[in-house]
Amino acid sequence: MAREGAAARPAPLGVRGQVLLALLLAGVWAFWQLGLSWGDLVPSEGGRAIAGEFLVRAFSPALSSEAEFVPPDAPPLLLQAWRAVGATLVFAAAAMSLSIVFGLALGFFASTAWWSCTFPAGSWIARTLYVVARTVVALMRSVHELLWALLFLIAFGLSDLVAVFALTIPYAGTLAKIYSELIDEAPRDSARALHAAGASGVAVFCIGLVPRALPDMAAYTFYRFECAIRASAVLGFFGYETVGLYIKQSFSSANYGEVWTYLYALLVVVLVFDVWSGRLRKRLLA
Amino acid sequence: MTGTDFALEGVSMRFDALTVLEDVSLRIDAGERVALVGPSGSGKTTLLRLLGGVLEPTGGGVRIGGAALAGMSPAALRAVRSQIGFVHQDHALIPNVRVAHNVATGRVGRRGLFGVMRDVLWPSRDTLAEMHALLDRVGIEEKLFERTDRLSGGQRQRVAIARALFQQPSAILADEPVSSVDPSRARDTVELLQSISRDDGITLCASLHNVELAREFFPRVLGLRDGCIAFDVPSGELSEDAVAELYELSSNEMLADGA
Repeated sequence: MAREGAAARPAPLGVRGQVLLALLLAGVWAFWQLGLSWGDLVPSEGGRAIAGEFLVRAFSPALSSEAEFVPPDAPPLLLQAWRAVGATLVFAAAAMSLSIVFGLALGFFASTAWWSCTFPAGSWIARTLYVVARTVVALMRSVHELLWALLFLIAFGLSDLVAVFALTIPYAGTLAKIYSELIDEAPRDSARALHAAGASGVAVFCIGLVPRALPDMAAYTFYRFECAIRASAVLGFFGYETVGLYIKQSFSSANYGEVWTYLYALLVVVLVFDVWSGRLRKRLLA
Repeated sequence: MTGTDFALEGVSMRFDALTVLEDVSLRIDAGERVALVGPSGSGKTTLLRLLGGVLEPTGGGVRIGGAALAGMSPAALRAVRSQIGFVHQDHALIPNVRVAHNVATGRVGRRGLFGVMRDVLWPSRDTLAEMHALLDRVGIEEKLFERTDRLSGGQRQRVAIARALFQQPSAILADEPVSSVDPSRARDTVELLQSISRDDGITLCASLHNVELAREFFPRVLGLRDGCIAFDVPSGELSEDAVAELYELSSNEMLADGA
């Protein structure tokens, strides 16, 4: 206790400091719990050989098929890679288009601003619907897209539409969460002005509030699109015709050169998307 | 266009424990021009928001155009608000859209969400011509399709006025419309508001920090202090003593702050 008259000294560890310390301790505890040892990072004899072989091929990716038996009607490797990344993009684009539509609708309902604009203050109906919306959004996000893909694969079999939905559910949930937070954090001045001009609650929300959040919403959507391209690539490991399928096949036949060809093709697509989205963002938002 | 009249009858406004306005009664006739002066925190903004039907008083009653706001349905209240153009201190524009889009939002009370969407995405020739004429009137015609955040503070102020005018209001309430522009532009802006009010016959009530501007452009000056009306006089009869007394405390405070 500070003596009366003495200058009060702030506690050496404020609330923020305590939280950070707790997080650090949790991390240490997790390492200890898992019994991690640095020795695990040293590969076994055989593993080292395979890893070496694989890494060396990074410098000499395959330009034509390395398989021992190539069906006569099979497309050349580079065309195959081109088609595979194309399919990867198509899956990602389809999933993102749906995710944006659902993400916007759910994002509106999961924001506090929507309910305060459309319902009188303190309405328990608004409160309930808000909690329902947030719960739905949380449930959609809580299962990873690959887990959805696995569940759907078991339930519906291999179908492109199902793959798109496997991506859409968690992505729409994530977009909805971020959209709702961006809308709630957006400046309120233009919304107040529209309210004063006699706008309805829905109009105040849609014209006064959402445009203020749109630049950030667009930026985040571009970032999620990039994530969707990667996720769509990995869907191939479940048998969908994205680049992951070919990576898996080439890898299991130890055709490492082909693996690198596909990886580089994916890298090029992600880089091109990055440059394109960066330019688009600048044009839209600058 | 004709102006609307306002009446506050024994209005009090409390925010939790804080009393901002205490038993204020006043009438503003249709087409009148009233300046609201007083130190910061005297209740000017609150008074304007009450006049605009945006705030509901905690005591007393507000009448706009003869109709009592108390007990009005939300739709009727929106209809009243759509008659009143509000020029906000911080302009309250949407920065990342074109000027024309901001202007279009002014008519949201009459046109509704979809009407405004139409005026934003595919405005009719008449609407465009109207917007052009409005921007010409406020002196920034060439800026109609400029992005709003590329404009200077003074130009944004004019966009805010154009938005209020696009509303086809019967009254304009302006909250410190010139607090963010330099003195010569402040004069231009107040002059513009005055000429709009005079030419269109619409009621104008503006809060101002600058008593000289109030005296020059407004026939009636209303002094607010600590939530009460300190004076309500024709501007010709406003004495220096009354002004000095109105600002006395706050100017001392400013000196004490070392401002």
